[in-house]
Amino acid sequence: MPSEATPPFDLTDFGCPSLSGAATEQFSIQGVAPRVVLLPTTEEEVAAALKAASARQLTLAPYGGGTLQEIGYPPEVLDIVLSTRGLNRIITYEPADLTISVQAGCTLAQISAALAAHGQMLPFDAAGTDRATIGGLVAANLTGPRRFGTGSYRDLLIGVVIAYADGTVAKAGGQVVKNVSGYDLMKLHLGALGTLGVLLRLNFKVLTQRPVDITTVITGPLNALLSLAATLATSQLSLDSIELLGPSSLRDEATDWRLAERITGSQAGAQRKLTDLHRLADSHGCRTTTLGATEAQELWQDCASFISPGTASNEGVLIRISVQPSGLSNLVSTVTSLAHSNNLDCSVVAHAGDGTLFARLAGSDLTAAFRPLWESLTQGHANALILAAPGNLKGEVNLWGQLPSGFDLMRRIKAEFDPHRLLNRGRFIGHL
Amino acid sequence: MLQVRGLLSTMVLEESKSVHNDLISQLQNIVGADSVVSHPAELLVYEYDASLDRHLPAAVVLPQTTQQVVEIVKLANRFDLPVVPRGSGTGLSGGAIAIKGGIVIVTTRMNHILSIDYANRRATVQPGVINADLTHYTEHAGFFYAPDPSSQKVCTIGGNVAENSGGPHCLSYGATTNHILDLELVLPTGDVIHTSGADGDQHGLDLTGTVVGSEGTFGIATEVTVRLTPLPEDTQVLLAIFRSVDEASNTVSAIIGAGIIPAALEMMDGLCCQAIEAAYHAGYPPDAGAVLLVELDGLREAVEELVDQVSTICRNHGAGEVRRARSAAERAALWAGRKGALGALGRLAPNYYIQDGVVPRTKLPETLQFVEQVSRDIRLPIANVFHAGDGNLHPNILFDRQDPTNIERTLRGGLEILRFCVEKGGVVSGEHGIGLEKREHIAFLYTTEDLAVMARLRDCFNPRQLFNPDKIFPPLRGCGEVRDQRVAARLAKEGIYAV
Amino acid sequence: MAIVTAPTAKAMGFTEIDAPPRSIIDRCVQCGFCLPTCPTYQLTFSEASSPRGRIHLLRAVSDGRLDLRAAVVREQMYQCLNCRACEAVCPSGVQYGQLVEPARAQIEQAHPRPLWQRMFRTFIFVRVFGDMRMFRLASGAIALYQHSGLRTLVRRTGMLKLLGLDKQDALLPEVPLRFVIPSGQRWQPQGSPHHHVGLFTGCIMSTAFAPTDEATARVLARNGCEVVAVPDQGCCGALALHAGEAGTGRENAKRNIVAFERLELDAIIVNAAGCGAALKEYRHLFHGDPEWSRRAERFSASVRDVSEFLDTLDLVPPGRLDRVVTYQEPCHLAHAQRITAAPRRLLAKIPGVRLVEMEESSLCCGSAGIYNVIRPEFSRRLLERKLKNALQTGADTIISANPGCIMQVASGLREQGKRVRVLHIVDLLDEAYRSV
Repeated sequence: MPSEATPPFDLTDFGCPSLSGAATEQFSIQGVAPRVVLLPTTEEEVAAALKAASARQLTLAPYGGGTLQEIGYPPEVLDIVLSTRGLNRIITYEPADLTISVQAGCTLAQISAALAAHGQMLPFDAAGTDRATIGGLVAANLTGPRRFGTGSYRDLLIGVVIAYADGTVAKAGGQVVKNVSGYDLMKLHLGALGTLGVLLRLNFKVLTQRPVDITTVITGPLNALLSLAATLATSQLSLDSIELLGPSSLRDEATDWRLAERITGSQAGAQRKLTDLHRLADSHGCRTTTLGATEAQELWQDCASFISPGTASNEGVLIRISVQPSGLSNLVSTVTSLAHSNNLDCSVVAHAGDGTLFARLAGSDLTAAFRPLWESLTQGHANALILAAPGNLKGEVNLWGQLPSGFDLMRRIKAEFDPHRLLNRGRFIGHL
Repeated sequence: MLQVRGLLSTMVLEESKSVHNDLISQLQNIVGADSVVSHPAELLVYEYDASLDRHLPAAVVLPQTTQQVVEIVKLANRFDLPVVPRGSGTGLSGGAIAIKGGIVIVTTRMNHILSIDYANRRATVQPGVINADLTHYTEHAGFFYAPDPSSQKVCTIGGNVAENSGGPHCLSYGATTNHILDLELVLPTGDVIHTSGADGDQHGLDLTGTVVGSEGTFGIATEVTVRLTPLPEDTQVLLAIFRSVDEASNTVSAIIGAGIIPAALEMMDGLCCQAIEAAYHAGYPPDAGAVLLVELDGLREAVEELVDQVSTICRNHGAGEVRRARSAAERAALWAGRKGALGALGRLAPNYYIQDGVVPRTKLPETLQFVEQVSRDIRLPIANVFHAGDGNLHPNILFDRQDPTNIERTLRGGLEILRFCVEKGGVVSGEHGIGLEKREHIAFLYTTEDLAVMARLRDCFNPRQLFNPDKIFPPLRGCGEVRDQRVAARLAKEGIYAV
Repeated sequence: MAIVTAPTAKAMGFTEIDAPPRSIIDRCVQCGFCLPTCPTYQLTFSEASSPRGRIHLLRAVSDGRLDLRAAVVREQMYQCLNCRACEAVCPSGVQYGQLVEPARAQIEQAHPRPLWQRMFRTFIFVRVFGDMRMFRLASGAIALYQHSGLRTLVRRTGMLKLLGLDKQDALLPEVPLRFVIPSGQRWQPQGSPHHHVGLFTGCIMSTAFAPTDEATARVLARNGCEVVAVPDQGCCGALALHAGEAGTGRENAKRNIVAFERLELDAIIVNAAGCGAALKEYRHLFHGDPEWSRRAERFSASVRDVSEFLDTLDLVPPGRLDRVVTYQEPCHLAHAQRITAAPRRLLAKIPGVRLVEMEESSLCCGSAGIYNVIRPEFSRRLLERKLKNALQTGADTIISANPGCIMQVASGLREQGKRVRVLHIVDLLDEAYRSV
């Protein structure tokens, strides 16, 4: 659907369909509209576009479904949005090998449907799976509740094809489940927010759907729930998820602290897990309820939505703080009490097994109230990230908290692969 | 590759003796005299690892602290000398061979477990801690360290990090990279960083994941935080006995195709069974065509179901017998046999050349048929012992390095097998690394552009290519070893003769 | 192998006769599995101090790349305890022990010691250990020194410290005043004998440990054996062999073979692990001598360690002993003879005895023949490690099965003032039978 508006610069050598003018608005990133949107449909077109952009030093942002574009700083300059939605082919899928190779613009829903036809799956918890592309999900590496037990992008990504800023296309990894041939470049691009290259193709090892998939919700005093979570996390039950849900965090508006578990396995295996779970919950003075299938699906969908920035910046701030699991108890009380003392509404969800806490904060004077809270939270090199915040706030704080000791190295890597800072300029840690 | 490389380092030794003496005395200032090896005769034992390549370093140093490592690295920068990190020297791709001479940093004396934190399922260790010791010290509390390379009683965690080591249990538990939370890394510049956030998770780029498996070219880890895993409630081991490799490999495809991922799924062919049985008396049938060793673990109820399912699949695919280990001792014996298999091959021939190719699991049967064909073509026996569940082959070509025609045929056989793996959508190394041994083969898999990107990443960490030079990437041809008669004369005085 | 050219004439290699066999060297594929089992590697974490490193040095000498006389070769061949823990774990089946002894012999040949040292070694290995009369005389002198009050006097004067002999003095076991002199004496079982066995009385065992020899005979007799102390036997020769004195070792072997051949025996019972290992390997001493190889083979085939032998019997139930024991495995029982389960099964058969396993029970205690004399520093560190592991079990008795280990561990305990006993396993069994 090429636009009729006059493009701001000559697009002939970009060699793919494009949009310009008002049509670019829908591809705005944190309020910044690109001058041009490119709509390539082949990997070659992406490479050619990058080469052309690089030759003219035009800044560029890869763009999938747009579900996670709130993450990171606003782009410093944005000439081109490169939509990957045209790269939507499943390249190979060999169910008996339990591997799949897909283009970056495939949506998670599309991939899941293909896998489900063979009783297989990728355990990625994401919001808006019919829009969210696999390339965008990997670039954001925003991991959900199932990371604890079944693994996430990092554990299942076995190969990539990447287009670098200068248009070079290179692959790494492969189509097999075990591989140490060359460097693990999959990790390099994981969570790099597309600042080092544009993902073209991704290979995953996939999992088999388990016959039984049960969700339980445990209620009780917060301390008991946290202690129970610690017991479960170090137990032999290998639960898929152990999720702490704060009061009023989900759409069901429940006002208690809750601990939600996802249990999968064979009939006998899952039943045994359930029995043990009940016993352990009882011994912690907590009550266990098993959810129906629909309720369960809603609950996990809500969790995924809670931790996704979506359009959160309109409503407040979404932060993620990771601590060692034993520090979660302190973290929960610190965050809630800091929010309280700064007159902010606060709701939290946490991957209790991993020690990752998500908090949504809102209030009348958000910017002023949030800054001191963030400063106290990020003291001492805490691993913290603001996933979504109003634009004015983003200009005033470090979204990643204090910079890690490896930041110089990260800067060198950015300089090597994107020396002119063309890809997602300024959006990643330390405004890379 | 199979040749013994020149005895003489092209580095400092070629310079004047005084430069060498200066280096040694400065190294001694850093770590003390008894932690520096400089006498050429004593350096001989650092010219090898468990691979086939050899080369002498100019000096070997055995530090005990991060600070010492930093100072050694800075010194190497001043002397413009290569640095090669080394653990126990059990690598199978030549990763610890000082192919350009220089300083070998041996981590075996950095062998303290610094902290164990069960609540957070992690431990922080120095790089010289032995893999199996971690499990030994944590299993009483109900935990273990999951990656279990066959050399786990010997190999170091630091070496595992460098190679992203695998092992039988990687099938369900993942390789080393899935179990490393954070590294304290001394960069080739001498700077020290932590690769993860304080919680052991990615903060910014995933440097931890990027560094694991970089084969000592990105720096040297001086502290490693690993994930500990709760021990499974129940573990059962099955030994399924087949008439042929074909039957066994079809069974592997069937098990995986049924969506069952056992804790481990290993195959050994008849030749291997014979060698293992001679060495271990573990109960491997020496007259089998092939066996599968299947470990199933988890909750008791689930394991029982799996045992039934797997046994049935094995029988349906031709297993004449499926034995179940009846006790922990029987299980341990079977595993000891499996893990000692490589060494046991020493009973069949003076040398073996192990390949580490991986193919998609559905391609196993045809790949193993091809291996048999190669064995016939090169007229050398090939013993297969490998991680079948991952599609990670270990064909071992048995040969005698004293026989030059043997070497040519061995190399040709290895090459053909790896080419075949790549043609079938596989890769050239599943867990041993590229190192020296497969640096030419990596070009089957990756284009010049692919490799150039990897080289650029290396240069970000290791801009002067001081750390583990000449590894991983295909060598520039025609760059033969330079030898210097003056050095030869000097070494002769010490009782070593350049040959 | 393109770069390797012919060896230079200047590097002295092995002389052909009795060289460490190349076929054994070539079996090592350098997998490194031996490293964690090697006591010296555990102390140094240095590759040269590992079996793999030492084999590589021998390979280099054999290839003509390294001179046999190089300091590192001598250092490493003698730093090695020859405990053979590496052999027990080697997947390739490298018989490391068959490399060390020839290598030492070659070093002794290639690098003659000063005349006084050679004379002293000859005196010790040929005159003392080679001749049981001399040995008993020397042992008697020690016993006299200990029992007459002379030791108290000498210790008080401090002259041992002055002479640097105080450590050696501390290592000396309490030598009893009564020795077992093998002269055909017999121990009869109650009722008709089921087995006719010969007792290998040994040198140190028959003197310093004479009561253990007697206990061995009593325990065997109690279990239906007619035991005879075969006359004309002598030292097994292990000490000479370990020290690179192959000729002397061979003479010892021949004498013992001749002595035991004269009798029809079901088994030759030995209660010292080190001697047992040597006796079982006599055949290696006679390569190229078919006559003696055959005789040695037959001799070795009937040698049994006392634990190994008792384990095959339907043991008469011993009496009750309330003890907490831990088991220190002699290297030459666990590694050289691969006997690990039998002693533990025997201990389990004594009512009231509770075995608490120590960490690293099969790691050498540092005794290793005369190692504790020639390498006191390494020996001491291994001993300290052994004592720490043993004492951690809370055992009141440490059980072993070799005189060297018993002396070593006992001296360490004495030094630390610990009231823990060290006993040979047959001493404990004997005590149990006597308590019935």
